[in-house]
This record gives sequence, structure tokens and C-alpha cells, in this order.
Amino acid sequence: MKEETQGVDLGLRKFIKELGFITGGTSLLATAPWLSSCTPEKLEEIKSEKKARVAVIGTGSRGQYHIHNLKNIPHAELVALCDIYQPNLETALALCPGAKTYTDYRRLLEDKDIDGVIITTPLHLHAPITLDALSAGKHVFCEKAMARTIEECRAVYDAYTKTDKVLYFCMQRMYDEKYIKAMQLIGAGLIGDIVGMRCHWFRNADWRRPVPSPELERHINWRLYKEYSGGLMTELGTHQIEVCNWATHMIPTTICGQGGIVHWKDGREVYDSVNVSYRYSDGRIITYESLISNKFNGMEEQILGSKGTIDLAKGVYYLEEDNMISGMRQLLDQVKTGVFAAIPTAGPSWKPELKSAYVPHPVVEGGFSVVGGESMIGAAQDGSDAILSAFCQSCITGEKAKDVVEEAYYSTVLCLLGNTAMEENRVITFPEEYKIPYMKF
Amino acid sequence: MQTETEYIREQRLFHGMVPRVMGTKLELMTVGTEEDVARNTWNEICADAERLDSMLNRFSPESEISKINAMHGCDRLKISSELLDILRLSIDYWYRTEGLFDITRGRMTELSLTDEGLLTISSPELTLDFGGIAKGYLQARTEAKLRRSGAECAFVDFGNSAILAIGHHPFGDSWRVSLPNPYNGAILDEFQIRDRALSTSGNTPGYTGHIVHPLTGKANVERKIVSVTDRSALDAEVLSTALMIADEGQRLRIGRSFPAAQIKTYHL
Ligand SMILES: NC(=O)c1ccc[n+]([C@@H]2O[C@H](COP(=O)([O-])OP(=O)(O)OC[C@H]3O[C@@H](n4cnc5c(N)ncnc54)[C@H](O)[C@@H]3O)[C@@H](O)[C@H]2O)c1
Repeated sequence: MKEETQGVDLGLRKFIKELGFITGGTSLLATAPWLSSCTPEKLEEIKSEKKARVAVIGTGSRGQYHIHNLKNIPHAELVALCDIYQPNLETALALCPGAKTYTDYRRLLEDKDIDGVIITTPLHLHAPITLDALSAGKHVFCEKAMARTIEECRAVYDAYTKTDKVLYFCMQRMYDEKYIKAMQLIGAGLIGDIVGMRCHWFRNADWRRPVPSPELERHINWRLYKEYSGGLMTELGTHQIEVCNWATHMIPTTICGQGGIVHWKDGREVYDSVNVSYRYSDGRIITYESLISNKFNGMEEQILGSKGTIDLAKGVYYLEEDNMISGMRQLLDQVKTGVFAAIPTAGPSWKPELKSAYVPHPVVEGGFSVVGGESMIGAAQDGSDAILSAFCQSCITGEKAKDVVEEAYYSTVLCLLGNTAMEENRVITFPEEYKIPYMKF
Repeated sequence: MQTETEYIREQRLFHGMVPRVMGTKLELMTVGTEEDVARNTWNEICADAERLDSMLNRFSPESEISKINAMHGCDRLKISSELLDILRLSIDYWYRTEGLFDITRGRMTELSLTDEGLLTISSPELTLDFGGIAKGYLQARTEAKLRRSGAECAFVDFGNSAILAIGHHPFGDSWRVSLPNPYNGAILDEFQIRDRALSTSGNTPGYTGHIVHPLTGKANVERKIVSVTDRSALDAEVLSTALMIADEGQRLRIGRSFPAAQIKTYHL
């Protein structure tokens, strides 16, 4: 019999195994506790059990992306699809011909043969469908952001604390090897104390999709209208604010910012340029920027430390004290301690105090990532496959993934507060009634 | 000039550092030299570096080079005797590298020196740039000073790209230096050098296109590094730059005219 070794997230599981081996697992669990529900050992235990029967609600571009990934998850079976827009439902059905189809998600939720649902609808439907699905007894995997409003976020979080069902939000960076490794390096003191964060996402594209007939404009280009979308903050910012909180183990207390529609004046309602700053109670600041009419700066998530900088998105780090100084330092230490070894000092000319003089070091052995952040659907192997696989595993075991909902909750609420700060042009203090028992402020 | 020094008596270990000179950092370590000798030598080296920097720095309007460049041509100009030496060396290297090492960026034929050492520049567009030789020149003078001081174990690191190893590591028979790949940090090679200079040229992720082919005017942007070890720090410095832009035939011919040089090219 052929062993089932295929799997999209094999890389991550192998990584968990290696890290567990090297560090005894403690450091890994401190860095990414949610991984404890999807260890290779636990996957082994469910091998003989029946597969997770899952359904996709909202079979647009992200839904179809997950359908492709599901095919490579051995412990998952895609049994049903739901969409109110026929062309997308048909395209998705062509990818998995055996699946049942629904046009009303409520009917789908009545289907007893479904263990879990994957929600990939526009943002305004995340909360209603998630709440309905949990009360229908389904496990839920919902796309980020958590919800369209902070009230809805709170309602979803409260429902989560009462349910025995599992709930995931697709914060794929939490399952991306290079992010986890980087967080471990930060935890180990590689870049010293975290002193600030600079995240940005720049593209040069209008964010529009072609519309076959005018009455479909709002349905298809939902991202551009406030009724359905929180704009750049919820679509892009959530991922980046999440990693900042993950790195600092804190939640910011004050928020201010400015935004506007600078270039794409095409009737859209959401800003095409945002600049928000988040301040933690100890004074540290996240500077967040997104602009979609200039892509020069690309996508970066810089964690700035007193001894170095990690760009999480690229998977590289830079040290304030460059190789050369440390080369001579090493040599001095050698002479003082009687050691004779090579020092890594040769190289093209070193320029002091310039950004360009910093030498990039890969976070994960084997080089740098080339994710540019230009795709609206998602990059390959960015953790999305691994988190989906972890969800399917949870559908079988019933084991929740620690902290995933909490991370999604705070990053979404912070992004929504960022929108309010920009729209009302005021400094916002994180509201008491939206604090949940997770991390400190 | 700002410098930092330390001396540890037990090992007779001296370390000196200038954080910024000639656009980079200069560090010296000697082992086995008495403190006063080590410090005097270091002070001489620093004074030398400062003087050369103020003579050859194109970006300082006060430097001799800037004044010449600002004339946009000159006729039988008297220049300082040291600049004349460096100019003569540079012309000599231009011949020996088939024109690839060129302080005039392709206009060498518009420059001439009389027997008495007077400089004529016939084109207003010709500017002089000694960036490719200055570090090697300073290294050569540094080596002479260290030898005169009796140093038997000394290591000079001039911005990583120019390294000078005198004698050997106190606990080994040479000095061992490795070359990291600037694109990913992986070690590309290791050198064991003794009484030799090691010069490295190339592009890095943050600093690319600084070597320009004098004949085509094109900046070299290859992901490539050239390392040269040689008894002469000057030869090593000039060669590593010229060979970044040499074609295969030039590489072989130029290599033959520098028989003491060991040349390595890395495509990254
Ligand atoms: N995690 C990531 O990196 C990532 C990447 C891309 C998109 N997303 C998220 O995925 C979600 C979907 O984005 P998209 O680009 O696929 O949008 P899309 O417009 O391509 O797809 C949304 C689909 O939902 C369907 N839909 C709308 N209302 C519905 C309803 N009541 N019932 C069933 N289906 C309904 C639409 O017809 C459409 O097919 C968004 O929340 C987005 O933020 C996340």
C-alpha cells in the first residue's frame, strides 16, 4: 500500500518536528502556541479516522484558492459549495465536480454531512455567517479580517468563548515558517529590544475587478465600498498589525492616522492611501502605511530592534553591528582566548551608516523570499495551506487552535479603529469594553 | 579624526579603529608589539589616512583632486609630488590592465605628464577619480610602516574589501579570513593568508553598479565577486577592480602580467 506522504503543509510540519527536536518544543510553543494542535504526531493519530468533510461558502477568487489547497490535504474532503453568484459557483464546481451546491448558506448549514465550513465571502458577511455556522454546530474557518465592525468582532469572540466548535481566521502568517522562525530569533534576543515597527504595503493597481454588467459593480468590487469592506486596513493591514502584536506580545493603546482617496477617484468609498500609527503603553510605535498608486516600497514588515532589524515579510534580518566589526571583534576574542579560526571579514567594500550597507541574513536557511505582495489572491506556500490543513485536522479532533481567534480579534479591531481615527481625524484610545483577556496593553 | 584604541599588556595586543575614513572603516590589530611602538605606528597610519583622504576625496571641495577637477582641463600644471606618484602608478596600471583600470573613466589619452611631472588635461570633461587605488596605496604605506616598526603579527582590515596580513595569527601559522556571500550570508570561500594582501570587489544587494567599464561607460551589475591575493596590496586592489569588468581573454592576459596574484571569481 502506498504511504500517504503528499501534503501541502508537509514543509511546516517537518519544520515543527525539527524545531521540536532542537529546542525540546518549549521555545516553539512559546512562540506559536497554536501549532500544538497540528503537530505531526497528532496528525499521525487521526490517519485511520474519517476525513474532515468541509464546505466552501463564497467561491470567488480566495475560495477557489482554498479549493486548490484542499485537494492536497489528505485528511480533508470537500463536500459542498455555496455562492449566490452563479458564474463563481460554476467555476468552483468545475474544480471539484462531486460537491453539492447551494445558493443559500443557511441551507448548507442544515446539511448534517458537513463538519466544517470555510467562509470566503466579502468582509461584511464574515460575522453573520460565522455566528450562524457556529450555532448550527459547524466548525468554522473564516477569512480575515474577523468582521466588518468592532461590535461584530466582539459578538464573534463572545460566541467563540461559549462554543465547543473550533474557529479559525486565516491569519496565515501565524503558520508561515519564516515568520515563526523570525519570532523565535526575536525571542532569543537577536535584534535586542524591540524599539519600533514599520509596516507597509504598497501596490500600483486600482484594486478593481472587471464587471460583466453595471448592476454587479458593488457585488464584484465589494472591496471599494464601505458597506462591505474596511478598505486597505482590513484587507491588508490586519496581517501586518497582527505580526507586530505577535512580536511585542502587547496590544497598542492609542491610535491616530490620516487617509484619503489620492489617485483612484473612480467613485470608490474606501481610501487608497492610509497612514496610521499605533502606540503601545510603553511608548513603542507601529507606523503603518498602505498606498495603491505607487509600488516602490513594496510590502515590508520591519521589526526594529536595538541591535538589529527583521523584515518579516522578506524573511531577512540585518544587524546594527555589521559583519566587519564583529569580524575584528571575533579576532580580538580569538587572540584573548587562544583560538585560531577564520573570521568572516572579506567582502566588497563596506559603507558605514547607510541602509544599503546592512548585510541581509536569511531567517530560514536557503535564502530569501520573493513575495512581493502584489497578488490579490494569495501567494503559494505562505502559510495559507498550512492553516487550512490545521483547521481540517481540528475538524476531526475537535481541538481548538490556541490564540488564533484572539490574534485575529485584536488585529481586526485595531484596523477598524484605525479607520475611525482617519475618518474622524482624532486620537483614539483603545475602548475598555473591547478588551479581551489576551496579552497586555 | 576620531579613533578608538585599546592595548592589552598580557598578550601585547593592540587594536585601533577609525570609524570613518575614505568612506569606510579602518582597523588594525598587532600582537607582540610593545605598547608605545604600536601606538606610535597607529598614529602615523592615521595621519597618513587623513592626509590621503583630504588629498584624494572627490567630494570635498578643498581636496587637491577637487581643485584639479574644478579646472575642467589644465596645461602643464604643477601638482604635489605624492599625487604625481599616485598618478604615475595609475597610468602604469592602466597599461598593465589593458585600459580596464582607469582613473579617468575612458579618457586616459586626454591626459599627459611631462618628464618634469607637469600635468596636462586636454578635455574639460575629464575628471580624476582615485577611488580604485587609494585604499591599496594606503595599505601599501601601512605595510611599510608596520614592517619598519618591527611588527611580526599584524592584521589590517580596511572596509572588508582591503585586508592585509603580516606574519601570522598568534595561535596559527597564517591569518584565516572567510568571504561571505553578500546575498545570503553563506560562506563562499576561506583564505589563509600570510604576508599577503586580500582585496575583494563586487556587487552587493545594497550597493550595485559602482564599477563602471571605462570603454563602454556601462556600470557592472553582475552578481559577482572577484577576490585577489597578492604580495602587493596595490596590485591586489587594482586587479580586483579591473577583473570585475574584464572579459575572458583579458582576464587571462592580465593575470599573466601579475604572476604573484591569486585570482578567484565567484558568480553568485
Ligand atoms: N488571507 C488572505 O491573504 C486573503 C487573500 C485574499 C482574499 N482574502 C479574503 O477572502 C475573502 C474573499 O475575497 P475574494 O477576493 O475571494 O472576493 P471575491 O469577490 O472574489 O469572492 C467572494 C465571493 O463571495 C460570494 N458571495 C457574496 N455574498 C455571498 C453570500 N451571501 N453567500 C454566498 N456567497 C456569497 C461572491 O459571489 C463571490 O463569489 C475576503 O474576506 C478577503 O479579505 C484573504
